[in-house]
Parts: sequence; structure tokens; C-alpha cells
Amino acid sequence: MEKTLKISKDFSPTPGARYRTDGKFSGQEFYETVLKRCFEEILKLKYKLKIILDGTHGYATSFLDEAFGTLAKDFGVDVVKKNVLFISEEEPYLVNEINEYITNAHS
Amino acid sequence: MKKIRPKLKHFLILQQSQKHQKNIDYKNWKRDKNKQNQGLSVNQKKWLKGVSNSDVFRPPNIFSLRENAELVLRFLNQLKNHQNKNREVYINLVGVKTITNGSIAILLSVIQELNNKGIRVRGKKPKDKETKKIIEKSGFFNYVIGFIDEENSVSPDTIITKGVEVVEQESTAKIVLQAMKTVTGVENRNQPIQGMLVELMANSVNHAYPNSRKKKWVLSVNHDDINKKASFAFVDNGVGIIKTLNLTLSQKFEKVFNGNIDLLNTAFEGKIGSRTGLTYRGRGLPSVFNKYKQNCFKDFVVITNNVFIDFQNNKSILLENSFHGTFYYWELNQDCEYYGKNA
Repeated sequence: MEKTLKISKDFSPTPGARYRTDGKFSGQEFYETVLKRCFEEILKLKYKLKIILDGTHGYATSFLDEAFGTLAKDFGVDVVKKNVLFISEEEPYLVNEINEYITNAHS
Repeated sequence: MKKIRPKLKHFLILQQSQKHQKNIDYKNWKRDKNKQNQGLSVNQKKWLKGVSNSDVFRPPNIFSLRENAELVLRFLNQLKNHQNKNREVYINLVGVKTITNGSIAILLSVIQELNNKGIRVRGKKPKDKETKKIIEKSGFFNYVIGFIDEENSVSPDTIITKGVEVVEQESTAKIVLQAMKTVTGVENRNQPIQGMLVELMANSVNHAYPNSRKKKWVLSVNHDDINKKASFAFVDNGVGIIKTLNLTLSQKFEKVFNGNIDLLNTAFEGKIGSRTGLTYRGRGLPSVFNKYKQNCFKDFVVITNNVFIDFQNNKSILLENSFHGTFYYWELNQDCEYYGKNA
């Protein structure tokens, strides 16, 4: 079983930068208000989390790094890699980029 | 009747005579001044009166950072160095024959910096009709008081400027939709450009002004309907990328890089970490450069501190006139990747 999270619909079509202090819809805000809760929920239910990146106006690397890097720091790189599936048809290269942020999260 | 004491009488006579002399001096001065101004129009007389308390600055006739970087930067530095709050700055653009949205954006950012210091800025538009049209259509006069000819009052060209810890991604999303309409005819999203703009705004807010709350950036977009091209200029008047890197990296790494051009190129290529052995987090500049390499935009130019890099023409210059801040310029046209994929 899997749960789907579409960032453009469940958070914002215009994601911002890294921190809340940078302005609205930051990576930090996304992690703290949406992603963390969602991930805890799927771990409890033993589901997988499918994250759809399409549909937004575009992502800054700082947003992705903050959101998914913090997820990996808090829950562990392996746990995140095992339980999250990223989908992007509009910008397929984003999936590799995010996996890099997750892998390097501990450093 | 009360008698006036001789001393007081003498004083009053002296005062009267001084007053009389002052009147004569003023009349003579006025007569001389009128003689000097004979033949001048009412507007010219007004202008003379206006500049008497101003320091006048004249930009180079070719006011384009790409074509004439040294002279444009020298002019901007002269403006930035103006410190006297009691003297206005008067920018005389009359002789300017070439102007670009990049130089308009950078000029506006310097004007805002002067305004932040409490210095009043006034000016005169270019005489050349085409140049005047470009500045009037650019959106410059949304931030600087001035009349716009009716024919130039409606334009898709935009300038936005924000500051103090705010990334304005909703505004830039609309700007990108408009730019894509110019390029493709349809209001499409362009995620790489929007992502890059958010990155630049965040860099400006987080790194460019380490010790100041007066954080400002300016984004200018020019629409060329004939060539189906949108050109972007983004500028902040912070400390600049080179200085920021020097603040981050300690002096012992100075010898690792072959000067500032090498340092900046290394930062864009994302190799600071591998060359210094440090855990270097800066991903913003490499992500911007990757988008350029993936052909998401063209004609990429960066000017920061004493480095000018024109990536398209593989041209790097060490500048004599440094720019205290960072300037980015790029173009979006029909040859660029990613446009229209997300309709």
C-alpha cells in the first residue's frame, strides 16, 4: 500500500527557499507541517510514500535540500530511501538530485 | 518724547545701512544671474535652479554592462560613493544612446541604496527617443518619480524589487508565465527558471548582506516580441560572491585557486568542496550553472566584485572597477530547453 503526496496540491504550487525566515512556503515549513507528519504516518501503517513533484512552478535546490535532507537526518538515510518514491515527469533530473541530498544528509 | 541714546542711534544707522547694502548686493547678483541665464528656456532655468544643490553624475553614452562594463561600473561606483546627505544626486541621462534592462536594474538598485542612506536622487531622461522609450517601458518609473509618454505607458516589461528577508516566489512565478508567453505565445510554467529565481532571491537574502537589514534585490525582465525573447537581469548590492566565498573559506585556501576568476568558476561548477577538501554546502550556484549547461537559458553573464564572466562567449575578465554586489543576466528564447514541456 502507498500514500501519495502531491506537493503542488498538498502544500503549494509555488514552493519557496530553505527557511521560514526566507518567506512563505519554505522547505522548512514543508518539512515541519506536511512531510514529517506524512512520513510518520506511513511508517506506522507500513505503507510507502509516493511524492509527486510535478505541477509546481519550480523548485529551488535549497527547498529540496532542506525538506528531504532534514527528513533523512531525522529518520535515517536508509529508512527514507526504502520508504519514499519520487515521481517527476516534468523535471526527471530532480529525482537524482533529491537522492543526492538524502545520501549526503548526514554530512 | 523719549531721546535716543547716541550709541543706540549709531547702531540703528549702521544696521539700516547694512540692510541697504545687502539689498543692493542682492539686486546686483540677480541682475548678473539674469544676464547669465539670458536666452535659456523656462525649463532650462528650472533645471539650473534644481542642480545648484546637486552633484551631477553622467553615465557613459553606452550604458550597457555587457558592452561597456568598466565605464558603467566606474559610473555606478561614483554614485555609490556619494555620501553627503545634504547634496542631492542628479543623474543626467541626456547623452545616453544605448541602455539595457540590465543596466536599468543595476541603476535602480544603486538609487535605492542611496535612498536608504537618506540621499535624494533626481535626474533627466535620455534625449535619444529609442533609449528614452526603453527606460520608460522598463518599469523603472514605478519606483522613481517621473513622467512617461502615453505611448510607452503600457508594456509587459517588469521590474520588481524586494528586501528584508523575503523571497517573492509568487511574483516571480507570474513574471515567468509572462516571459514564456513572449517566447512561446502561451503562458507556460518554466520550472528551471522559477527555481533559479528563487535560488537567487534566497542567496541575496541570506548571503549578500551579512551585517545589514537593508537587503534589496532587483529583477528586471524585458520582452522582445519580435525575436520572441525574454531577457532577465537580477541584481543585488550586497558584498558579492567572491567576498562571500572569501568570508567562508579561510585564507589558507587562497593558494588553491588561481585568482578570483578561477574561484568563481569553481563555485559555479560546484567544485569548491573537492578542491579545498572542505564540506562545502553551497548548492545554489552549481544548480544555476547546471541549468545553463542544460540549455534552459542562454547568454549567461555574471558580474561580481572584480570578475566579469560571459559564459556564452567563454569570456572572463578581471575588472579594474569592481562591482560591490552581484549581477546576473540571461535570456530565454525559442532555442532553450524545457519551455512548453509543461503546458
